[in-house]
Amino acid sequence: MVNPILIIALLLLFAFLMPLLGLLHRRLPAFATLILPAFNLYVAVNHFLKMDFIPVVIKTGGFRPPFGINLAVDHFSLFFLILVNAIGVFIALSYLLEEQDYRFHILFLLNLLGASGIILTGDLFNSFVFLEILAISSYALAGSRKEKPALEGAIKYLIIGSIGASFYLLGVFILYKVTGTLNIADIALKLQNAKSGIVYLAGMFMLVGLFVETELFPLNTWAPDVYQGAYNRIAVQFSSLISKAAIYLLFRITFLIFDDPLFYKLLLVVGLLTFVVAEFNALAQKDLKRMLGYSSIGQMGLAVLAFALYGMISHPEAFFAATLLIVNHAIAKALLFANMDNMSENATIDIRSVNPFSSLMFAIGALSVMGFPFTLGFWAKIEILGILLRTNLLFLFFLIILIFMVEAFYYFRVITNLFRGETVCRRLNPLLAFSLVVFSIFLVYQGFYPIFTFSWLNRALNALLNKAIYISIIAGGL
Amino acid sequence: MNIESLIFYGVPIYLIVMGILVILTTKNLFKMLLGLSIMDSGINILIVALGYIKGATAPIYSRYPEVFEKVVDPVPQALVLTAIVIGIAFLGLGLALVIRIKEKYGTVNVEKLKELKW
Repeated sequence: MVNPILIIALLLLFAFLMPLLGLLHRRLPAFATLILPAFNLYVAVNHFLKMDFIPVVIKTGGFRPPFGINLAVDHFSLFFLILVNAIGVFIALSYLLEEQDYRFHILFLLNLLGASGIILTGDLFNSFVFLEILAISSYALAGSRKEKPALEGAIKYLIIGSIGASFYLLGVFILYKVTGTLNIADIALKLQNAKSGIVYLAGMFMLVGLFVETELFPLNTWAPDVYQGAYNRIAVQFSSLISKAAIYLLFRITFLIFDDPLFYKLLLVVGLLTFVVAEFNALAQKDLKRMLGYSSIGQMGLAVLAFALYGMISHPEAFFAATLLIVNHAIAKALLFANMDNMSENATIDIRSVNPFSSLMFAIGALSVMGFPFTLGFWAKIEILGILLRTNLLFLFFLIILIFMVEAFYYFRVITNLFRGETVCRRLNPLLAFSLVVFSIFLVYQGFYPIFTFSWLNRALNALLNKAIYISIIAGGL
Repeated sequence: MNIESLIFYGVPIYLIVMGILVILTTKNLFKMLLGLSIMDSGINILIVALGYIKGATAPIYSRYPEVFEKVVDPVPQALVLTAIVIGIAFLGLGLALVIRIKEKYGTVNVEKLKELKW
Protein backbone atom coordinates (compact mmCIF):
# COMPACT_ATOMS: atom_id res chain seq x y z
CA MET A 1 0.00 0.00 0.00
CA VAL A 2 1.14 3.54 -0.71
CA ASN A 3 2.11 5.59 2.29
CA PRO A 4 -0.59 8.25 2.83
CA ILE A 5 2.06 10.85 3.60
CA LEU A 6 2.66 10.92 -0.15
CA ILE A 7 -0.75 12.59 -0.50
CA ILE A 8 0.55 15.63 1.36
CA ALA A 9 4.06 15.52 -0.10
CA LEU A 10 3.01 15.21 -3.74
CA LEU A 11 0.39 17.96 -3.49
CA LEU A 12 2.99 20.30 -2.03
CA LEU A 13 5.62 19.28 -4.58
CA PHE A 14 3.32 19.85 -7.53
CA ALA A 15 2.11 23.16 -6.12
CA PHE A 16 5.74 24.27 -6.22
CA LEU A 17 6.35 22.77 -9.67
CA MET A 18 3.30 24.41 -11.19
CA PRO A 19 5.07 27.46 -12.71
CA LEU A 20 7.57 25.11 -14.34
CA LEU A 21 4.82 22.90 -15.73
CA GLY A 22 3.12 26.00 -17.05
CA LEU A 23 6.29 26.90 -18.95
CA LEU A 24 6.55 23.44 -20.51
CA HIS A 25 3.04 23.39 -21.88
CA ARG A 26 0.07 25.59 -21.15
CA ARG A 27 -2.25 22.60 -20.67
CA LEU A 28 0.05 20.75 -18.29
CA PRO A 29 -1.05 22.46 -15.00
CA ALA A 30 -4.68 21.53 -15.61
CA PHE A 31 -3.75 17.88 -16.17
CA ALA A 32 -1.59 17.84 -13.05
CA THR A 33 -4.52 19.12 -11.01
CA LEU A 34 -6.59 16.23 -12.34
CA ILE A 35 -3.97 13.52 -11.76
CA LEU A 36 -3.15 14.43 -8.15
CA PRO A 37 -6.67 14.17 -6.66
CA ALA A 38 -7.18 11.01 -8.69
CA PHE A 39 -4.01 9.54 -7.18
CA ASN A 40 -5.14 10.59 -3.69
CA LEU A 41 -8.51 9.01 -4.33
CA TYR A 42 -6.82 5.77 -5.37
CA VAL A 43 -4.63 5.75 -2.25
CA ALA A 44 -7.56 6.51 0.03
CA VAL A 45 -9.87 3.87 -1.46
CA ASN A 46 -7.08 1.30 -1.44
CA HIS A 47 -6.41 1.91 2.25
CA PHE A 48 -10.09 1.95 3.07
CA LEU A 49 -10.65 -1.47 1.53
CA LYS A 50 -7.49 -3.17 2.77
CA MET A 51 -7.02 -1.66 6.21
CA ASP A 52 -7.85 -3.48 9.41
CA PHE A 53 -10.12 -2.15 12.05
CA ILE A 54 -7.12 -0.71 13.90
CA PRO A 55 -5.96 2.82 13.09
CA VAL A 56 -2.55 3.20 11.48
CA VAL A 57 -0.02 5.67 12.81
CA ILE A 58 2.46 7.15 10.36
CA LYS A 59 5.49 8.59 12.06
CA THR A 60 7.15 11.60 10.54
CA GLY A 61 10.67 12.43 11.65
CA GLY A 62 11.21 9.11 13.37
CA PHE A 63 9.55 9.88 16.70
CA ARG A 64 6.83 7.71 18.10
CA PRO A 65 3.70 9.55 19.15
CA PRO A 66 3.04 11.40 21.47
CA PHE A 67 6.35 12.98 20.44
CA GLY A 68 6.84 14.50 17.03
CA ILE A 69 4.15 14.92 14.43
CA ASN A 70 2.24 11.91 13.28
CA LEU A 71 -0.52 11.09 10.85
CA ALA A 72 -3.36 9.02 12.29
CA VAL A 73 -5.33 7.16 9.66
CA ASP A 74 -8.49 5.24 10.40
CA HIS A 75 -11.60 4.45 8.39
CA PHE A 76 -13.33 7.67 9.40
CA SER A 77 -10.51 9.88 8.16
CA LEU A 78 -10.19 7.79 5.00
CA PHE A 79 -13.91 8.17 4.37
CA PHE A 80 -13.62 11.94 4.45
CA LEU A 81 -10.42 11.78 2.41
CA ILE A 82 -12.29 9.85 -0.26
CA LEU A 83 -15.13 12.39 -0.20
CA VAL A 84 -12.87 15.44 -0.42
CA ASN A 85 -10.69 14.01 -3.17
CA ALA A 86 -13.69 12.79 -5.15
CA ILE A 87 -14.90 16.39 -5.15
CA GLY A 88 -11.38 17.44 -6.18
CA VAL A 89 -11.48 15.04 -9.15
CA PHE A 90 -14.96 16.32 -10.01
CA ILE A 91 -13.80 19.95 -10.13
CA ALA A 92 -10.55 19.21 -11.96
CA LEU A 93 -12.24 16.99 -14.54
CA SER A 94 -15.16 19.33 -15.18
CA TYR A 95 -12.95 22.32 -15.88
CA LEU A 96 -10.05 20.46 -17.51
CA LEU A 97 -10.44 22.18 -20.87
CA GLU A 98 -10.93 25.64 -19.46
CA GLU A 99 -8.10 28.12 -19.96
CA GLN A 100 -6.78 29.10 -16.55
CA ASP A 101 -3.75 30.83 -15.17
CA TYR A 102 -1.33 28.35 -13.55
CA ARG A 103 -1.53 30.37 -10.32
CA PHE A 104 -5.13 29.31 -10.06
CA HIS A 105 -4.05 25.66 -10.12
CA ILE A 106 -1.48 26.32 -7.39
CA LEU A 107 -4.25 27.63 -5.16
CA PHE A 108 -6.44 24.64 -5.99
CA LEU A 109 -3.68 22.20 -5.03
CA LEU A 110 -2.90 24.08 -1.81
CA ASN A 111 -6.56 24.03 -0.95
CA LEU A 112 -6.72 20.29 -1.48
CA LEU A 113 -3.51 19.96 0.53
CA GLY A 114 -5.04 21.81 3.46
CA ALA A 115 -8.18 19.71 3.33
CA SER A 116 -6.31 16.38 3.08
CA GLY A 117 -3.87 17.45 5.79
CA ILE A 118 -6.60 18.37 8.25
CA ILE A 119 -8.14 14.97 7.69
CA LEU A 120 -4.94 12.95 7.99
CA THR A 121 -3.12 14.64 10.83
CA GLY A 122 -3.05 13.37 14.40
CA ASP A 123 -1.47 16.47 15.86
CA LEU A 124 -3.33 19.50 17.07
CA PHE A 125 -0.85 22.17 16.05
CA ASN A 126 -0.39 20.51 12.69
CA SER A 127 -4.15 20.69 12.23
CA PHE A 128 -3.93 24.45 12.83
CA VAL A 129 -1.24 24.77 10.15
CA PHE A 130 -3.30 22.81 7.63
CA LEU A 131 -6.39 24.79 8.59
CA GLU A 132 -4.49 27.98 7.80
CA ILE A 133 -3.22 26.58 4.48
CA LEU A 134 -6.82 25.75 3.65
CA ALA A 135 -8.06 29.15 4.81
CA ILE A 136 -5.42 31.32 3.15
CA SER A 137 -5.73 29.54 -0.19
CA SER A 138 -9.50 29.88 0.00
CA TYR A 139 -9.28 33.63 0.74
CA ALA A 140 -7.20 33.95 -2.40
CA LEU A 141 -9.60 31.77 -4.40
CA ALA A 142 -12.59 33.77 -3.19
CA GLY A 143 -10.93 36.99 -4.29
CA SER A 144 -9.59 35.61 -7.56
CA ARG A 145 -12.44 37.08 -9.60
CA LYS A 146 -11.62 40.73 -10.10
CA GLU A 147 -15.15 41.97 -9.63
CA LYS A 148 -16.77 43.88 -6.84
CA PRO A 149 -18.92 41.17 -5.19
CA ALA A 150 -16.07 38.63 -5.14
CA LEU A 151 -13.61 41.07 -3.57
CA GLU A 152 -16.07 42.16 -0.95
CA GLY A 153 -16.89 38.58 0.03
CA ALA A 154 -13.19 37.71 0.13
CA ILE A 155 -12.17 40.55 2.45
CA LYS A 156 -15.06 39.78 4.80
CA TYR A 157 -14.04 36.13 4.82
CA LEU A 158 -10.39 37.02 5.41
CA ILE A 159 -11.12 39.19 8.44
CA ILE A 160 -13.57 36.80 10.08
CA GLY A 161 -11.46 33.78 9.15
CA SER A 162 -8.25 35.08 10.65
CA ILE A 163 -9.94 36.06 13.90
CA GLY A 164 -11.34 32.52 14.07
CA ALA A 165 -7.96 30.95 13.31
CA SER A 166 -6.27 33.03 16.01
CA PHE A 167 -8.78 31.79 18.54
CA TYR A 168 -8.21 28.23 17.40
CA LEU A 169 -4.46 28.66 17.94
CA LEU A 170 -5.07 30.12 21.40
CA GLY A 171 -7.26 27.14 22.29
CA VAL A 172 -4.59 24.71 21.08
CA PHE A 173 -1.97 26.29 23.30
CA ILE A 174 -4.16 26.42 26.36
CA LEU A 175 -4.66 22.67 25.90
CA TYR A 176 -0.90 22.29 25.50
CA LYS A 177 -0.33 24.16 28.75
CA VAL A 178 -2.84 21.95 30.57
CA THR A 179 -1.77 18.57 29.21
CA GLY A 180 1.82 19.10 28.03
CA THR A 181 1.22 17.46 24.66
CA LEU A 182 -0.11 18.33 21.23
CA ASN A 183 -1.06 14.83 20.07
CA ILE A 184 -4.86 14.62 19.73
CA ALA A 185 -5.12 11.09 21.11
CA ASP A 186 -2.75 11.86 23.97
CA ILE A 187 -4.69 14.97 24.94
CA ALA A 188 -7.88 12.93 24.84
CA LEU A 189 -6.25 10.35 27.12
CA LYS A 190 -5.12 12.97 29.62
CA LEU A 191 -8.41 14.85 29.69
CA GLN A 192 -10.60 11.73 29.87
CA ASN A 193 -11.46 12.09 33.53
CA ALA A 194 -10.43 15.51 34.73
CA LYS A 195 -11.77 18.54 32.90
CA SER A 196 -11.07 21.87 34.52
CA GLY A 197 -12.60 25.22 33.70
CA ILE A 198 -9.65 26.21 31.56
CA VAL A 199 -10.26 23.20 29.31
CA TYR A 200 -13.81 24.44 28.69
CA LEU A 201 -12.36 27.83 27.76
CA ALA A 202 -9.92 26.18 25.34
CA GLY A 203 -12.76 24.15 23.85
CA MET A 204 -14.88 27.26 23.31
CA PHE A 205 -11.97 29.01 21.59
CA MET A 206 -11.26 26.07 19.29
CA LEU A 207 -14.90 25.44 18.37
CA VAL A 208 -15.48 29.13 17.67
CA GLY A 209 -12.42 29.08 15.43
CA LEU A 210 -13.89 26.18 13.51
CA PHE A 211 -17.32 27.82 13.20
CA VAL A 212 -15.89 30.14 10.55
CA GLU A 213 -14.86 27.41 8.13
CA THR A 214 -17.90 25.26 8.83
CA GLU A 215 -20.17 28.25 8.17
CA LEU A 216 -22.00 28.16 11.48
CA PHE A 217 -24.30 30.88 12.64
CA PRO A 218 -22.64 33.87 14.25
CA LEU A 219 -19.55 33.69 12.03
CA ASN A 220 -21.01 32.85 8.63
CA THR A 221 -21.88 36.31 7.29
CA TRP A 222 -19.07 35.97 4.74
CA ALA A 223 -20.41 32.75 3.25
CA PRO A 224 -23.35 34.00 1.12
CA ASP A 225 -21.22 36.81 -0.30
CA VAL A 226 -18.46 34.41 -1.28
CA TYR A 227 -20.93 31.96 -2.80
CA GLN A 228 -22.53 34.69 -4.84
CA GLY A 229 -19.37 36.48 -5.89
CA ALA A 230 -16.93 33.69 -6.68
CA TYR A 231 -16.68 31.62 -9.84
CA ASN A 232 -18.91 28.56 -9.91
CA ARG A 233 -16.03 26.13 -9.56
CA ILE A 234 -14.91 27.95 -6.44
CA ALA A 235 -18.42 27.87 -5.03
CA VAL A 236 -18.27 24.08 -5.51
CA GLN A 237 -15.02 24.06 -3.61
CA PHE A 238 -16.46 26.08 -0.74
CA SER A 239 -19.61 24.05 -0.33
CA SER A 240 -18.20 20.58 -0.90
CA LEU A 241 -14.51 20.60 -0.03
CA ILE A 242 -13.50 23.34 2.39
CA SER A 243 -16.43 23.17 4.76
CA LYS A 244 -16.39 19.37 4.69
CA ALA A 245 -12.76 19.15 5.76
CA ALA A 246 -13.42 21.67 8.53
CA ILE A 247 -16.46 19.79 9.79
CA TYR A 248 -14.36 16.62 9.93
CA LEU A 249 -12.03 18.41 12.35
CA LEU A 250 -15.00 19.68 14.34
CA PHE A 251 -16.38 16.15 14.69
CA ARG A 252 -13.00 14.64 15.51
CA ILE A 253 -11.91 17.04 18.23
CA THR A 254 -15.35 17.41 19.77
CA PHE A 255 -15.78 13.67 19.91
CA LEU A 256 -12.29 12.84 21.15
CA ILE A 257 -11.31 15.76 23.37
CA PHE A 258 -14.38 17.83 24.25
CA ASP A 259 -16.77 14.95 24.77
CA ASP A 260 -18.92 16.82 27.25
CA PRO A 261 -22.65 17.75 27.42
CA LEU A 262 -21.80 21.44 27.59
CA PHE A 263 -20.15 21.45 24.17
CA TYR A 264 -22.91 19.35 22.66
CA LYS A 265 -25.47 21.80 23.99
CA LEU A 266 -23.53 24.65 22.43
CA LEU A 267 -23.37 22.81 19.11
CA LEU A 268 -27.07 21.98 19.29
CA VAL A 269 -28.06 25.61 19.77
CA VAL A 270 -25.63 26.88 17.14
CA GLY A 271 -26.62 24.20 14.63
CA LEU A 272 -30.32 24.85 15.12
CA LEU A 273 -29.90 28.62 14.82
CA THR A 274 -27.77 28.23 11.69
CA PHE A 275 -30.32 25.91 10.13
CA VAL A 276 -33.37 28.06 10.88
CA VAL A 277 -31.84 31.44 10.05
CA ALA A 278 -30.15 30.27 6.86
CA GLU A 279 -33.22 28.50 5.46
CA PHE A 280 -35.46 31.49 6.06
CA ASN A 281 -32.85 33.75 4.50
CA ALA A 282 -32.68 31.45 1.48
CA LEU A 283 -36.43 31.88 1.09
CA ALA A 284 -35.99 35.64 0.77
CA GLN A 285 -33.22 35.61 -1.85
CA LYS A 286 -33.59 36.69 -5.46
CA ASP A 287 -30.18 35.63 -6.73
CA LEU A 288 -30.02 31.90 -7.45
CA LYS A 289 -26.41 31.37 -6.38
CA ARG A 290 -26.94 33.28 -3.17
CA MET A 291 -29.99 31.14 -2.45
CA LEU A 292 -27.92 28.00 -2.98
CA GLY A 293 -25.27 29.48 -0.68
CA TYR A 294 -27.77 30.00 2.11
CA SER A 295 -29.04 26.49 1.57
CA SER A 296 -25.45 25.22 1.97
CA ILE A 297 -25.13 27.01 5.29
CA GLY A 298 -28.44 25.53 6.40
CA GLN A 299 -27.34 21.99 5.56
CA MET A 300 -24.12 22.44 7.56
CA GLY A 301 -26.25 23.62 10.48
CA LEU A 302 -28.45 20.55 10.22
CA ALA A 303 -25.41 18.25 10.14
CA VAL A 304 -24.00 19.86 13.28
CA LEU A 305 -27.44 19.63 14.89
CA ALA A 306 -27.58 15.88 14.20
CA PHE A 307 -24.04 15.47 15.55
CA ALA A 308 -24.96 17.35 18.73
CA LEU A 309 -28.05 15.13 19.10
CA TYR A 310 -25.71 12.16 19.04
CA GLY A 311 -23.76 13.67 21.91
CA MET A 312 -26.87 14.42 23.96
CA ILE A 313 -28.66 11.09 23.62
CA SER A 314 -25.81 8.90 22.31
CA HIS A 315 -27.76 7.23 19.54
CA PRO A 316 -25.16 6.21 16.94
CA GLU A 317 -27.88 6.71 14.31
CA ALA A 318 -27.67 10.46 14.83
CA PHE A 319 -23.99 10.46 13.99
CA PHE A 320 -24.77 8.27 11.00
CA ALA A 321 -27.38 10.79 9.85
CA ALA A 322 -24.97 13.70 10.29
CA THR A 323 -22.28 12.06 8.17
CA LEU A 324 -24.73 10.87 5.55
CA LEU A 325 -26.10 14.40 5.34
CA ILE A 326 -22.59 15.71 4.75
CA VAL A 327 -21.95 13.19 1.97
CA ASN A 328 -25.27 13.96 0.33
CA HIS A 329 -24.78 17.68 0.62
CA ALA A 330 -21.23 17.57 -0.77
CA ILE A 331 -22.32 15.67 -3.86
CA ALA A 332 -25.63 17.44 -4.46
CA LYS A 333 -24.22 20.93 -3.98
CA ALA A 334 -21.26 20.15 -6.25
CA LEU A 335 -23.86 19.19 -8.84
CA LEU A 336 -25.94 22.34 -8.29
CA PHE A 337 -23.10 24.87 -8.28
CA ALA A 338 -21.26 23.30 -11.22
CA ASN A 339 -24.54 23.21 -13.12
CA MET A 340 -24.78 27.00 -12.72
CA ASP A 341 -22.17 27.16 -15.49
CA ASN A 342 -24.87 26.05 -17.94
CA MET A 343 -27.15 28.89 -16.92
CA SER A 344 -26.83 32.57 -17.56
CA GLU A 345 -24.65 34.81 -15.45
CA ASN A 346 -26.41 36.31 -12.41
CA ALA A 347 -29.35 33.92 -12.75
CA THR A 348 -32.27 34.82 -10.50
CA ILE A 349 -34.84 32.49 -9.02
CA ASP A 350 -37.23 33.40 -11.86
CA ILE A 351 -34.87 31.93 -14.42
CA ARG A 352 -36.86 30.64 -17.39
CA SER A 353 -34.59 29.97 -20.30
CA VAL A 354 -32.21 27.06 -19.88
CA ASN A 355 -31.51 23.88 -21.75
CA PRO A 356 -33.43 20.82 -20.60
CA PHE A 357 -30.26 19.01 -19.55
CA SER A 358 -29.34 21.58 -16.95
CA SER A 359 -32.92 21.83 -15.68
CA LEU A 360 -32.84 18.09 -15.12
CA MET A 361 -29.48 18.28 -13.31
CA PHE A 362 -30.73 21.14 -11.16
CA ALA A 363 -33.86 19.17 -10.30
CA ILE A 364 -31.92 16.06 -9.25
CA GLY A 365 -29.50 18.05 -7.12
CA ALA A 366 -32.25 20.11 -5.50
CA LEU A 367 -34.41 17.08 -4.79
CA SER A 368 -31.51 15.35 -3.11
CA VAL A 369 -30.68 18.39 -0.97
CA MET A 370 -34.27 18.73 0.19
CA GLY A 371 -34.49 15.00 0.89
CA PHE A 372 -37.07 13.91 -1.64
CA PRO A 373 -37.75 10.15 -1.65
CA PHE A 374 -35.58 8.07 -4.01
CA THR A 375 -32.57 10.32 -3.57
CA LEU A 376 -29.67 9.96 -1.16
CA GLY A 377 -30.78 12.94 0.91
CA PHE A 378 -34.04 11.22 1.81
CA TRP A 379 -32.27 8.59 3.94
CA ALA A 380 -30.36 11.19 5.92
CA LYS A 381 -33.38 13.35 6.68
CA ILE A 382 -35.71 10.48 7.50
CA GLU A 383 -33.08 9.20 9.93
CA ILE A 384 -32.95 12.54 11.76
CA LEU A 385 -36.74 12.76 11.98
CA GLY A 386 -36.92 9.16 13.18
CA ILE A 387 -34.47 9.81 16.00
CA LEU A 388 -36.36 12.91 17.10
CA LEU A 389 -39.61 10.93 17.20
CA ARG A 390 -38.13 8.01 19.09
CA THR A 391 -36.59 10.25 21.73
CA ASN A 392 -39.78 12.30 22.06
CA LEU A 393 -38.20 15.61 21.10
CA LEU A 394 -41.47 16.69 19.52
CA PHE A 395 -40.83 20.42 19.51
CA LEU A 396 -37.61 19.94 17.58
CA PHE A 397 -39.36 17.43 15.32
CA PHE A 398 -42.08 19.85 14.25
CA LEU A 399 -39.65 22.75 13.92
CA ILE A 400 -37.42 20.75 11.61
CA ILE A 401 -40.42 19.53 9.58
CA LEU A 402 -41.42 23.18 9.15
CA ILE A 403 -37.95 24.13 7.95
CA PHE A 404 -37.91 21.18 5.55
CA MET A 405 -41.12 22.54 4.08
CA VAL A 406 -39.58 25.98 3.68
CA GLU A 407 -36.63 24.35 1.94
CA ALA A 408 -38.88 22.31 -0.35
CA PHE A 409 -40.88 25.45 -1.16
CA TYR A 410 -38.00 27.57 -2.39
CA TYR A 411 -36.42 24.74 -4.35
CA PHE A 412 -39.69 23.74 -6.02
CA ARG A 413 -40.30 27.38 -6.94
CA VAL A 414 -37.11 27.35 -8.99
CA ILE A 415 -37.68 23.87 -10.43
CA THR A 416 -41.17 24.73 -11.70
CA ASN A 417 -39.83 27.94 -13.24
CA LEU A 418 -37.10 25.97 -14.98
CA PHE A 419 -39.46 23.42 -16.47
CA ARG A 420 -42.16 25.86 -17.48
CA GLY A 421 -39.79 28.20 -19.27
CA GLU A 422 -38.68 28.07 -22.87
CA THR A 423 -35.78 25.82 -23.80
CA VAL A 424 -32.61 27.17 -25.31
CA CYS A 425 -29.87 25.23 -26.99
CA ARG A 426 -26.57 26.14 -25.45
CA ARG A 427 -23.27 24.44 -26.12
CA LEU A 428 -22.38 22.33 -23.11
CA ASN A 429 -18.90 21.67 -21.87
CA PRO A 430 -18.72 17.89 -22.54
CA LEU A 431 -16.51 17.04 -19.56
CA LEU A 432 -18.66 19.09 -17.21
CA ALA A 433 -21.76 17.37 -18.55
CA PHE A 434 -20.12 13.98 -18.06
CA SER A 435 -19.20 14.60 -14.42
CA LEU A 436 -22.63 16.09 -13.71
CA VAL A 437 -24.25 12.94 -15.09
CA VAL A 438 -21.99 10.72 -12.96
CA PHE A 439 -22.86 12.59 -9.77
CA SER A 440 -26.58 12.70 -10.49
CA ILE A 441 -26.66 8.98 -11.28
CA PHE A 442 -24.86 8.34 -8.01
CA LEU A 443 -27.44 10.37 -6.07
CA VAL A 444 -30.43 8.64 -7.64
CA TYR A 445 -28.94 5.15 -7.62
CA GLN A 446 -27.96 5.48 -3.96
CA GLY A 447 -31.44 6.81 -3.26
CA PHE A 448 -32.97 3.58 -4.54
CA TYR A 449 -30.36 1.21 -3.26
CA PRO A 450 -28.15 2.84 -0.61
CA ILE A 451 -26.30 -0.31 0.50
CA PHE A 452 -22.96 0.90 -0.86
CA THR A 453 -22.96 4.25 0.95
CA PHE A 454 -24.40 2.73 4.12
CA SER A 455 -21.81 -0.03 4.42
CA TRP A 456 -18.87 2.33 3.87
CA LEU A 457 -20.34 4.84 6.27
CA ASN A 458 -20.88 2.18 8.93
CA ARG A 459 -17.28 1.09 8.64
CA ALA A 460 -16.14 4.69 9.01
CA LEU A 461 -18.32 5.30 12.06
CA ASN A 462 -17.28 2.03 13.71
CA ALA A 463 -13.71 3.25 13.54
CA LEU A 464 -14.60 6.63 15.01
CA LEU A 465 -16.90 5.44 17.78
CA ASN A 466 -14.30 3.06 19.18
CA LYS A 467 -12.56 5.85 20.96
CA ALA A 468 -10.66 3.58 23.34
CA ILE A 469 -8.94 1.70 20.54
CA TYR A 470 -7.95 4.91 18.78
CA ILE A 471 -6.51 6.42 21.93
CA SER A 472 -4.69 3.29 23.06
CA ILE A 473 -3.14 2.61 19.66
CA ILE A 474 -1.96 6.14 19.04
CA ALA A 475 -1.22 7.57 22.45
CA GLY A 476 -0.20 4.35 24.16
CA GLY A 477 2.12 3.24 21.39
CA LEU A 478 5.31 3.85 23.30
CA MET B 1 -1.30 37.16 41.19
CA ASN B 2 2.17 38.65 41.37
CA ILE B 3 3.47 41.45 39.22
CA GLU B 4 5.41 39.13 36.94
CA SER B 5 2.48 37.04 35.81
CA LEU B 6 0.45 40.21 35.50
CA ILE B 7 2.92 41.42 32.91
CA PHE B 8 3.27 38.05 31.18
CA TYR B 9 -0.44 37.44 30.81
CA GLY B 10 -1.84 40.96 31.14
CA VAL B 11 0.06 42.55 28.27
CA PRO B 12 -0.84 39.95 25.60
CA ILE B 13 -4.47 39.83 26.73
CA TYR B 14 -4.56 43.64 26.55
CA LEU B 15 -3.17 43.45 23.01
CA ILE B 16 -5.75 40.82 21.99
CA VAL B 17 -8.63 42.86 23.38
CA MET B 18 -7.31 46.03 21.75
CA GLY B 19 -7.01 44.25 18.40
CA ILE B 20 -10.59 42.99 18.58
CA LEU B 21 -11.83 46.45 19.59
CA VAL B 22 -10.05 48.01 16.62
CA ILE B 23 -11.62 45.47 14.25
CA LEU B 24 -15.08 46.07 15.68
CA THR B 25 -15.02 49.86 15.81
CA THR B 26 -13.10 51.02 12.76
CA LYS B 27 -14.66 51.56 9.36
CA ASN B 28 -11.37 51.50 7.53
CA LEU B 29 -10.36 48.15 6.01
CA PHE B 30 -6.66 48.95 6.32
CA LYS B 31 -7.00 49.71 10.02
CA MET B 32 -8.99 46.50 10.43
CA LEU B 33 -6.03 44.54 9.11
CA LEU B 34 -3.78 46.43 11.53
CA GLY B 35 -6.12 45.39 14.34
CA LEU B 36 -5.84 41.79 13.20
CA SER B 37 -2.07 42.12 13.26
CA ILE B 38 -2.11 43.53 16.80
CA MET B 39 -4.33 40.68 17.94
CA ASP B 40 -2.00 38.18 16.30
CA SER B 41 1.02 39.63 18.10
CA GLY B 42 -0.87 39.43 21.37
CA ILE B 43 -1.62 35.76 20.82
CA ASN B 44 1.98 35.01 19.88
CA ILE B 45 3.30 36.73 23.00
CA LEU B 46 0.76 34.89 25.13
CA ILE B 47 1.90 31.55 23.71
CA VAL B 48 5.56 32.27 24.45
CA ALA B 49 4.57 33.41 27.95
CA LEU B 50 2.72 30.12 28.50
CA GLY B 51 6.00 28.23 28.02
CA TYR B 52 8.05 30.45 30.31
CA ILE B 53 9.69 28.99 33.41
CA LYS B 54 10.99 31.39 36.01
CA GLY B 55 14.75 31.79 36.04
CA ALA B 56 15.33 29.49 33.07
CA THR B 57 17.51 30.25 30.07
CA ALA B 58 16.96 29.94 26.35
CA PRO B 59 16.58 26.34 25.10
CA ILE B 60 19.90 26.18 23.26
CA TYR B 61 22.18 23.15 23.49
CA SER B 62 25.23 23.73 25.63
CA ARG B 63 28.26 21.70 26.62
CA TYR B 64 27.95 22.75 30.24
CA PRO B 65 25.23 20.68 31.90
CA GLU B 66 24.53 23.27 34.60
CA VAL B 67 23.41 25.72 31.90
CA PHE B 68 21.42 23.04 30.14
CA GLU B 69 19.61 22.04 33.30
CA LYS B 70 17.01 24.75 33.44
CA VAL B 71 15.58 25.91 30.11
CA VAL B 72 12.17 27.25 29.12
CA ASP B 73 9.76 25.05 27.15
CA PRO B 74 11.07 25.05 23.55
CA VAL B 75 7.85 23.80 21.91
CA PRO B 76 5.83 27.06 22.08
CA GLN B 77 8.82 29.05 20.86
CA ALA B 78 9.31 26.75 17.88
CA LEU B 79 5.63 26.72 17.00
CA VAL B 80 5.16 30.45 17.42
CA LEU B 81 7.60 30.90 14.54
CA THR B 82 5.20 28.97 12.32
CA ALA B 83 2.31 31.06 13.60
CA ILE B 84 4.21 34.28 12.82
CA VAL B 85 4.88 33.15 9.25
CA ILE B 86 1.22 32.24 8.80
CA GLY B 87 0.24 35.64 10.20
CA ILE B 88 2.45 37.40 7.66
CA ALA B 89 0.91 35.35 4.85
CA PHE B 90 -2.63 36.40 5.67
CA LEU B 91 -1.61 40.00 6.28
CA GLY B 92 0.05 40.17 2.87
CA LEU B 93 -2.92 38.59 1.18
CA GLY B 94 -5.29 40.91 3.02
CA LEU B 95 -3.33 43.99 1.97
CA ALA B 96 -3.35 42.80 -1.63
CA LEU B 97 -7.13 42.43 -1.45
CA VAL B 98 -7.48 45.90 0.10
CA ILE B 99 -5.42 47.38 -2.76
CA ARG B 100 -7.69 45.68 -5.28
CA ILE B 101 -10.78 46.93 -3.46
CA LYS B 102 -9.34 50.45 -3.46
CA GLU B 103 -8.83 50.17 -7.23
CA LYS B 104 -12.38 48.96 -7.85
CA TYR B 105 -14.36 51.06 -5.41
CA GLY B 106 -12.04 54.02 -4.86
CA THR B 107 -12.51 53.71 -1.10
CA VAL B 108 -11.52 51.48 1.81
CA ASN B 109 -14.47 52.48 3.97
CA VAL B 110 -16.56 49.43 4.84
CA GLU B 111 -19.79 51.39 4.93
CA LYS B 112 -19.40 52.35 1.29
CA LEU B 113 -18.93 48.74 0.13
CA LYS B 114 -22.56 47.94 -0.36
CA GLU B 115 -22.60 45.56 -3.27
CA LEU B 116 -23.88 42.59 -1.31
CA LYS B 117 -25.61 43.34 1.94
CA TRP B 118 -28.44 41.06 3.11
